[in-house]
Amino acid sequence: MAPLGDVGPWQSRHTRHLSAIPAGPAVLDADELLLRVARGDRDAFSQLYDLVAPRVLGVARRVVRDPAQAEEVAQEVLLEVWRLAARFEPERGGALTWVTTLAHRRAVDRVRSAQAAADREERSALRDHVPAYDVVAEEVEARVEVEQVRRALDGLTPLQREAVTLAYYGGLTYREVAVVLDVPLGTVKTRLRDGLIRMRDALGVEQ
Amino acid sequence: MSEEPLHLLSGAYALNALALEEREAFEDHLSTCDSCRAEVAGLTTTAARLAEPIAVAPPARLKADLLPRLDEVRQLPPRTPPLEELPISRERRRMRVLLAAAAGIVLAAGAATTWTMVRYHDVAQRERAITRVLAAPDARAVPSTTPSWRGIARVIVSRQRGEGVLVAGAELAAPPAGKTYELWYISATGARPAGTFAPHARGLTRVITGAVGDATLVAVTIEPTGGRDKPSGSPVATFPLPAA
Repeated sequence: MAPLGDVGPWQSRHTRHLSAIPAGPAVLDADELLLRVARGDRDAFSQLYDLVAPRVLGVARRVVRDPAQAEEVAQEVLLEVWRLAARFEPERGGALTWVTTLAHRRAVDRVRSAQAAADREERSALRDHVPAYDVVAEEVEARVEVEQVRRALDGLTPLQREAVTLAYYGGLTYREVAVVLDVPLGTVKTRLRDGLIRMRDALGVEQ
Repeated sequence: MSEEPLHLLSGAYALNALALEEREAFEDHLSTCDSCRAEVAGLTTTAARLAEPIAVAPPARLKADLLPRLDEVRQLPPRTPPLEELPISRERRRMRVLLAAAAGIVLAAGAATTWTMVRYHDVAQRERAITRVLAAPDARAVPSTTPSWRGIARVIVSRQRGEGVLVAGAELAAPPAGKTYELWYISATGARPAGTFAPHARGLTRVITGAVGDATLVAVTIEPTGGRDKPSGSPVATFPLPAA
């Protein structure tokens, strides 16, 4: 199994994300960029940043909520991408999945590390400058892709959708989801799995 | 799919909806279950797409802050397969146990820190060095004599192995901008630089560079990024080492 510093297995390349590349000189896809980053290429990192930062920050912000902390998490994740780039294995999955998964994991780790919660709150309270977002909820990803994801979510049963949403966007563990939804643990387990399988099929994710 | 109940956790795993302990147990299971691994791969890719509708344009400042920091982060080398694979994974398991034990003994900083520290291991080489120190029969954990560092950081040292490890919790404050923490082995003959480090949100476990030798003290100073050959000021923390 991959070491825990990694983000777990990933498999299918999904070149459909290439449509999310912003207009401009970027011509390499995320996988190629990450391979260059692994060789210490800062320009490639800068381009990769443009591709992945909106998702990294979006995930961090949704899960962590506090804008300043979300930015900390995003920075940490992006530095981690630089650090771990050589450990990325393109044949095992896409760079976007890898980075996004890393971001989500770091974000949930952050909200779950209750140990430091008090310290963080204190620091937040002391912070005189809470950064504002340049753009609050701009459509930064290609509209077609986003619509596809929304439709896939809409295609779930209400319980599947609630469970998946609470887990991913809320950063809850499935045990917490069970409490929130007041359903047995086993039900949550299967709803999360069935729901993702249904989304996977609706999105045509390669297996 | 031999273990049905564990297999059912694939969705929760792909959504990062397992608590740390369960995540580890599931990952152990994954290493032995091909069908689970294949399923998790597809579900992970699916889960990652949930980020698309919530993507936000980052402020320009984020990138401007980030790029200069690349200089401070060493990139890991690629993995070198197959020969070492078995020993590494064995060692990794052993390391997990050892670190967990050491963390339990050593860090009174609480369960969260302990687990994050245990999980913070991604460099086989460093793992081996840490394992060597922790596994040494004469390994001793020493707290800092500096009040603000006590309870946050420990040095674990083995005179037999001639090596030491610094363990610090997530609570450790960051050094000022443009500065880094630098470790020193202090002996009667002077201070030897022993590597720089930065606090980490998940805690850190850092092999102290160089041999313990006749050092009687590990000290930490704040130095310009990149570190110095000689300490430029008085230590911000000290760890008196057990006698040889």
